Order: sequence, then C-alpha cells, then structure tokens
Amino acid sequence: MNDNDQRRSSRLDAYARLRTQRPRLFANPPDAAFEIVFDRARQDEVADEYGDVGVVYEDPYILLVRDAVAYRDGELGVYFRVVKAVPGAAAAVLPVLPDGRIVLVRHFRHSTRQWHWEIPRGHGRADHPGERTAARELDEELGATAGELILLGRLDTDSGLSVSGDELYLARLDGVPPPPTADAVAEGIDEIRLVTVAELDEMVVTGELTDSFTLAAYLFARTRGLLP
Amino acid sequence: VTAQRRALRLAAYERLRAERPHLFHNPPDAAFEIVFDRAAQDQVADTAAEALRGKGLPEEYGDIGVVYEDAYLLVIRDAVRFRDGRLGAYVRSTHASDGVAAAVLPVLPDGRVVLVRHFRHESRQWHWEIPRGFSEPGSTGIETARRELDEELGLLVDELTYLGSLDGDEIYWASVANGQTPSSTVAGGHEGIDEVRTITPAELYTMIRDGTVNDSFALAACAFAVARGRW
Repeated sequence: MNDNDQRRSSRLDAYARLRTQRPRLFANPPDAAFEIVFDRARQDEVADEYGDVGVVYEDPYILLVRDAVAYRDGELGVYFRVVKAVPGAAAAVLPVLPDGRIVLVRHFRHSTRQWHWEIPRGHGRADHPGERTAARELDEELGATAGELILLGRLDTDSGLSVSGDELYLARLDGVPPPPTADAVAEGIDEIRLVTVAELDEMVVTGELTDSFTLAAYLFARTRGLLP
Repeated sequence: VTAQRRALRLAAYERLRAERPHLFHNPPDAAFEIVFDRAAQDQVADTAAEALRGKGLPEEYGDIGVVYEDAYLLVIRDAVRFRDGRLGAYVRSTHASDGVAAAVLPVLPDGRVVLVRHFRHESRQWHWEIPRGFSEPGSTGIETARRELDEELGLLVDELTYLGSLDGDEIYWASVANGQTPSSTVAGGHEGIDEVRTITPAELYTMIRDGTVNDSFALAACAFAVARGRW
C-alpha cells in the first residue's frame, strides 16, 4: 500500500466510524436531491477526480467531512462540510425587560476580528437541552435569571459549510442586569445596551446590528406579538 | 517530525497572512489579540499537545497555523492573547478565496415574495430559503444577487435595493420586472431546487411563526424589511 492509498483508507475508516456514531449526518431521505454514496468503488472514483473522500481533518472542536454524492441523473460529485465534534444545538436568547426594552451585549468575535452587538448565545452540550444552554448563557453573559423562557423557534445559520439548527428563546427578565463581570470581560463582552424596539429598528437600518441570531430572534418575537 | 510539521503549518500561515491580512486584524480595542511571535505560538501548541496527550488524542490537534487546506477551504488555528495576558487558541474555517455572499428577496409587482425549496447537503434536508450565492472573483454583491436570481429562478430584475449586512454577507430587495414568473426548473437538477412558492408577506409571517422558514438569510431579509418600514 503506498502513502496515498494509506491516507485515503484512514480517512475513509474515520468516516465509517463517524457514520456509525452519528448516522443522522449521513441521511439519504427518499426525496434527497443528491444521495451520499458509500461504496468504495464510487468513493474512489470521486477521490480520483476531486480529492480525498472521508474525514479529512479532525480536532477536539470540529471535523471536516468530504462526502461522495450521486445526483439524480447518476453523475457523481463531492460536497464538503464542517461538523461540530460534539453534537448539540447552540442556543441564543433575546432578553426582554418588564418595560419591553431589549438587552444587547457587545461581543468581540474571532471569526471577524470585530465587535458586534448581539444577544447572548452559546454552544450546546451533548446532554443539555437548549433551554438549559439559554439559561446558562443568560447567567454567564448577563448575570441574569429568566422569569420566563419561551422557545421562539429554530434558526439555520448557513455559511455554506454547515447548517446549525440552533434554538432561539425569549427570556423575560425581572430587572436591569448588572454591568459585565470580570469573567464576561475576559470572554470579550465589554458593554451592555438597553434598547427599545424603535431603537433596535434604527440599529438594524444603520447597519450597527448584523448578527443573524439577533435579527432572527427579533423577527420571531415580533411576528408572534411578544414585543411591545 | 513534530517540529517539521509545525514549521510547515506556520509557513502556510505566514503566506496566508501576507495574502489576506484582514483575516489577522488586531484592532486596538480587540478583546484578544492574535499573536505572531514564534515563541508564544510554540508555547500554545506545547500546552495543547500536553493536554491532548493526557486525553489520548493526537498532539497535532494543538498545532498553530494552517492545519488543513484544499481547493475550497482552509482551517486555521490562531494563537491568541487575552487581555489578562493569558494565552490560548481559536480555530476557524474560511473559504479558500475572499468574496462576499449575497442573498436576495425577490418581490413581485403585486407585493408577493418568492421562496425556493433548496436541498442542503450540510443538513441532508430541504429548506425554504431566498436565493443566495457566493460572488465570483471580482464581482460585487449586487452583481451576485442579480446572477443568483437569474440562475435559481430565471427572474429579471427592475431594481435591486440594499437591505443590510448579515454577518458580513449582503442582503438585497429585488423588485422583479413586470410579467416575470419564477421557475424551479432553470437551476438544473444538480442545484437541488425542486419547488418555488409565491406568497404574500402575511403568508410569509405565518410560515415563520409555525417554524417552516428557518433560513437565516430569509429571516434577516424579513427583519430588515420590517425595521425599514417596508412591511
């Protein structure tokens, strides 16, 4: 076996293990626009033309998967995707004060190397329902406890690399949260802002607010009549 | 072997930094800065390698630099320093070339909007979405929006209005020309678009409320339209 064959085989072995552990990632619904193919001959055909198929990168946080697929006309192709190493939906939470104002946090994001106004959010853990993630993030980022936590809906943020299926909540807070704690500052949260719906609209129009979780939670809450 | 692998990954990182410096921006008020000196990078990689060995995982997971690369995608692990002086690492993935994505809300002369049913590989499911795509080299967001409307729905546009930015991507409102009808067949079988739906904004609200529309671009376009008082 040469180096090339060995590398391909180990990537396909990791792929087969992932498929056993998380079969949902490899679903081929009857109406799929293109099905994932698992037989080695076609995987090799795809790899010869487009590069290795399988788990091509892995670390404790993400996996990079390249799948061989067959379109409905029988043609073969390749798709790649980024998969979280630990399954579990993230949750974001829109905090609303008794007077109807919304709480935003100023967060520094590594992916853009910039500060963004957004609502609290965090990664899920395998054994945590979204509700618990939402409550944890409210506590960690705002030092706040929700009087009531309402599931608004699901959000698919799609960078073209992954589809997230994250959960969005609305939290009714009893009062104004304290200033950011030392832990929050270390995490990259410097400031909170309390805004009315009209002020939030203004931030959207001026481009000050561009976070997909915040925009979606705001829209969900508005279409359901949960905001003043 | 370890030293050689690390050096290669850092050399690719330095090349990327020279080509696309904005990815490595350290604004003066950054909450954590990316560190580029080799000693700090090695310290972060060593600390991670030790923790990984303790868990029985490959120590190369802790390397700093470009840790994966193919024709479409890069995975980067940066060494960072927090404001309290602590060192750490962040991993991120980025497209192999720069470019913005543009999404576009198609609006017919009678005010109805067009949604497309798109099969996404990442979730292995169908999603109701608005047309979107990545820019080709050298093309603007507005050109991308126009191209996607043509490619996905066969629609010609009278006017495109910028609605806003979503995590760096651009979102437009397209006033579709009179007499145009969206088609689900123009995109071709490989694209994974089987169905289009033409609905009023009130019907769109219902689909959002009942959880039928979850696409971040469609939701953001709708939020922009509401915030701007268009709906």
